[in-house]
Amino acid sequence: MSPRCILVLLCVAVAVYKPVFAVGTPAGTSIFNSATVNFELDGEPGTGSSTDQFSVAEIIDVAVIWQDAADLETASPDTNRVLTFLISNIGNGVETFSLQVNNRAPDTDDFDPDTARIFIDGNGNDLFDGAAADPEYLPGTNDPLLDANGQNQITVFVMNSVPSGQANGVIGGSQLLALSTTTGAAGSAPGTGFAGLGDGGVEAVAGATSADGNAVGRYLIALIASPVTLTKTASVIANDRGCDTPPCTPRPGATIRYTIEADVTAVPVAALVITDPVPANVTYVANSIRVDAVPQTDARDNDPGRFAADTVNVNLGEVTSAATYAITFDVTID
Amino acid sequence: MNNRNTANITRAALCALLPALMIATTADAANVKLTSVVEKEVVTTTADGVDVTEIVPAATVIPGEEVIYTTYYNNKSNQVADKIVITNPVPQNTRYKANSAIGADTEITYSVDRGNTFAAPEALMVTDKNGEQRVAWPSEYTHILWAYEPVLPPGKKGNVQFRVVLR
Repeated sequence: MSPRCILVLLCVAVAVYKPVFAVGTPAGTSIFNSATVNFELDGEPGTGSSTDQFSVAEIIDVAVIWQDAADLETASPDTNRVLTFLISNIGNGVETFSLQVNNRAPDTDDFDPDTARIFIDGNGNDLFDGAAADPEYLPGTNDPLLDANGQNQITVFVMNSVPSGQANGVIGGSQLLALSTTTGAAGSAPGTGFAGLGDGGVEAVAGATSADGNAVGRYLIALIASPVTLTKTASVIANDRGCDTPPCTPRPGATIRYTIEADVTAVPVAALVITDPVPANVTYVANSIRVDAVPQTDARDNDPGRFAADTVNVNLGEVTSAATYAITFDVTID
Repeated sequence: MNNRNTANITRAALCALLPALMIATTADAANVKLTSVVEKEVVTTTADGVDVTEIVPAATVIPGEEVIYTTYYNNKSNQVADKIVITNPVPQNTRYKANSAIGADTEITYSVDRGNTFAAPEALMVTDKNGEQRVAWPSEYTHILWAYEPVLPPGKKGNVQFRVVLR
């Protein structure tokens, strides 16, 4: 008996299966059915049967999930920072997947990580232990092979660098993609069939994931904040024309007073030393260093201030409570 | 076997499970012949964006897809056939789709005990994991039985059908 077909002459394009999303009966399984009939013909019992069969196609589906519990904190710049991903074959057959990193994705992040390298978890502990235990991924040589009905998951590490110049709190995303290596499958519309390309030669069908998957891992810039902020100002405080109240006209022989404000906000600071080389074209006025208006000697002695090798040096030692220090010193214009 | 109560259906089911013995008593090839087909629905979209449903043979099926089993029967003998009972198991790795069994002039019953007994849905009981009895779910049916009520004259034919979903 031929199957009933409803055909419209303008039928176009691809037959679409209802998309499904599950690991199911293994690909290649033969499903048999026998119908049986019992009857009587003129009182004589009789029986009959008939059998039909279909095969289970391979459905190709893959999921990639980023594993780190939170955005990975990094400096800027930074190197060799590893994100962890889990790749799962959620179809019903055996499938090989090729891997790629796209650091431009997503468009919405603040910066792009770079110099991506991929490593495959070789010792099964879901931790990156270096390339000896977790070999580097080379496309076409160690594409992960996952059996939906057996070993169906693998942990993969993506190692990136973080560029310089990123501000505290900004985010950079790194996308790992896994694509079925069955020809034509990755990215095809769910339900697209590939005759003969499934396990054991059955049909392969792209599942709801389009036979590929991806996830984005995130880096968060977390700079160690400087505990000290320095602000430097200069003022001409006297000259040879009788000016002794700033601002005086700068002329050869005029005196410039430099003020460095050191604002300590995060304490304790173990050994705070502020240095300032004397600029060109001026001459340091001996013993002019003051710390919070307290005069300092140039010599290395018990007070914080010292002058040597043309450099002002103030050693504030351990700072245990937040404070602002005013350091001044004078020079004359050559 | 004119009553269609559960006990008689049980006997019919037992007969259905012993085809080897029965074949020995049926010498002629001209009898009630069965043909089974398995098919599925495929939706295609025309150039105008209209969805058209076709029934096609099910060669390969993906988990979650529905397949349609149709059993055609045909009295190819020159005698009237009666007491016709057709049974189909719900195949391995599939589950019966509720209310999908059909067949003109048949009374349909189901089994949850691998074809030992058959009954109407509301009379099929299973024991759940708490040890309590409850009415069986369609997904727990193991067999379906169609009892064709009239006699089937020579040359007359018909079909019964049911659907399953591939796990």
